[in-house]
Parts: sequence; C-alpha cells; structure tokens
Amino acid sequence: MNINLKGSLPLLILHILQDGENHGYRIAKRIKEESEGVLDFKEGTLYPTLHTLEGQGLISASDHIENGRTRRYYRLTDMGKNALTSQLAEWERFSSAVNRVLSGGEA
Amino acid sequence: MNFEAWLQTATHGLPQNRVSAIRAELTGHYLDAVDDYLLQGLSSENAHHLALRELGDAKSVCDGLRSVHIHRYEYWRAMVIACMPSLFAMICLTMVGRPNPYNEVFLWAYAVFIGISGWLTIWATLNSLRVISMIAYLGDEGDLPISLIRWGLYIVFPVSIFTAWSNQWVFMAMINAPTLVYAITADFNHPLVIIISILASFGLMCIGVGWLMLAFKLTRLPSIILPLLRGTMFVMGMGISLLSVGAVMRDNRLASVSTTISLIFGILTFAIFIILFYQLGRNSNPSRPSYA
Repeated sequence: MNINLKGSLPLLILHILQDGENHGYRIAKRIKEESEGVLDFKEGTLYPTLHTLEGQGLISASDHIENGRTRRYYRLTDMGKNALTSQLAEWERFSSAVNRVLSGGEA
Repeated sequence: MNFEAWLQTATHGLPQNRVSAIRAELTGHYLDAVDDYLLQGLSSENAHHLALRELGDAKSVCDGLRSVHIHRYEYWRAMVIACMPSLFAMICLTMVGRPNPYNEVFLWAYAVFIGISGWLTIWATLNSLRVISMIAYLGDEGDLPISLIRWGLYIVFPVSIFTAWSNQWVFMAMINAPTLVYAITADFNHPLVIIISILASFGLMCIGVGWLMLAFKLTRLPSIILPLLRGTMFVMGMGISLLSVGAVMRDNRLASVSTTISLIFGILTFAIFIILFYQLGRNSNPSRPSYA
C-alpha cells in the first residue's frame, strides 16, 4: 500500500532514534518492518527528511566507515527528545479525534 | 537506469561541498539493501534492480534534497556571479564605443579590453548555464546545448580580440552594435578576414542553436514565468543565429540588428532569471544540516 508519509515521517524517525543511534537504511527497514509493510515508502525520500531534522537540531549525525562503506549515524538530541514528546502528544490528540469521528462520536 | 546514473540525478545541482557526503550516504544505503537482497537468495542482478527500485524516483529525491540544502542566498549569489560580469562587459562596450582606428595605441588597448570583456562574458555565461541546469534539473539532457554554447563561446572569444585588432566593421558590429553607424567595409576579401568570418559564424551558430535547444528543454521549471523565459531565450538564440548569417554574408546591417536583438533579449532573460531565482528561493527550507 502506498501511503503519503510526508507529514508523519519526522515523528517516525524521531521515535525510532529514541532507541539509539541508527543509519538511514536501518531506519527505513524498521519503519517498514514494524508497520508490517503498511507504511511502504521509497527509501530515497527518507534522506531529505533526515537532513531537515538535522538542520533543525532535532537529531545529530556522525560518519562512520564500516566495511569500506560510509554510514551516517543519526541520534536524537535533547531538543529532539522534547520535540518527540510534543509530537507524540499531538499525534495522540489527532488520531483520537479521527477515531472519535469515525466511530460516530462514541469514543 | 543504473545506480550511478540514479545518484547523478539525485544529487544534481546540490552545493559542491555537500555532494560527496550525500553521495556516500546514499551509496551506503544502496549497498546495504543489495546485501540484504543477496542474503535473501536473490540473484545479483535482481538484488541491484530491487535496491534501486526501493530508492524511488531520483528526481523526487533531488527535489527534496535541494529544498533542504539550497538556500535563497545561494541562488542570489549564483545569479550575481553569473550576471554581473556580462552586464559590466555589455555596458562598457556600449559606453566606450569604438576608438579612433588610426591611433594604434588605442586600438591595442581596445583589443585588450575586448579580450578581457570577452573572457568575463564566457565565464559569466558558463556560470549562468550551470545555474540554469541546476534549477531546471536538466542533468544529461542539458549536456549537448550547454556544450554547444561553451564551444561556440570558445571559438567566438578569439574572434572578438581579432575584431578589435583588425578594425573590420562586420566584427565590430557583432560586439558593439548599439554604438555603430553603418560604414563601408574595407578589404573584405583578405583571406584572414574570410577565415575568421567563417569561424565566427560557426561559433555563433553553435551558441544560437545551443540557446534554442536549451529554451525547449526547460520544461520542468516549476514556474508560471516559464513561457516568458523560454520566449526570451528563443528570441536571443534566433538573434545569435542570425548574427552568424550576418558574419557569413559580412552584412553590417544584419549583424547590428541581430546583435541588438540578442543583447536586449539577453538582458530580458537575465531579468527573468532573477524573478525565477527569487520564486524558487522563497520555497526553500530555512534550515539545513552542516555538511561543510
């Protein structure tokens, strides 16, 4: 299924990085695996979002050479942790509002 | 499309100091994906094919990366670098006009001036083309027209020095039309003049055709002013092509008129570039990572 992740991709990235530093490929894999393939997106589009988050200071990055390959590891900053908390709260509010509407205002 | 071509498109037009780091990151991602597919038992060919497919459309990735990594001031800096020397050279040529042909010192000084102006114009034009190519995502499609313009300029540049030195009206007309009065030409049958005029017309034709091709290729510019830009570039290209005909026929009037048309529409094109850069720059992301 092709879902437009543009709006929620930053939240997903921040959420995954709270478990520790990771590089782009593993982040993409985890999003796909943990959503059981529902959140299927083109992996190249992950990088503009990662670089934007880095520019905003929500994540930081460092390069490592592993097996002759350059891997850029991203980790959550303190500012990123705060942003994750507020974005999660926002998401909860949003999704519960949508659920309320879909269930006819019963929830 | 293979991975190298994909990478080339995805990173096309990004600032030079960030390209290598971004390329390395994307390459690492691609090779990790290939390894995973190989571990799953896929053939090498299928693994590479799937890894590339999973990366997605290179132009969309390029769009996203540009919105993060290119700032408005970078467009402006590129624009100023591209336009200022050209405008300076054009204004100077128009203001200075033609020196006394009988004063040899003036003639040599003029030749040096024309040489420097010509080189500045080449440099500025090539910078402009780099910026056009960057904002229009032309990639390989821009190679042929840009090469035509580049080599056309390289051919015309020595001609401009010869022009000043030889004091032949038809060449003067090519570079200094606004200040010219039509004159009776002298010694047009000199073999050197004939050879130079053929070279000049060939170079000018390359430039004209290059601009025309480029005007048609600018289809992906996300702007409502695209038709205007294509129109001015088209007229400029036609003007330069006509100028080459003027050089072959050694027709002062045709050379003067076509030079004036090229100049006016060249300035209009640059003016539209400025609006375009402003528009694109306004949409760019205010934050970006430090790759420097």
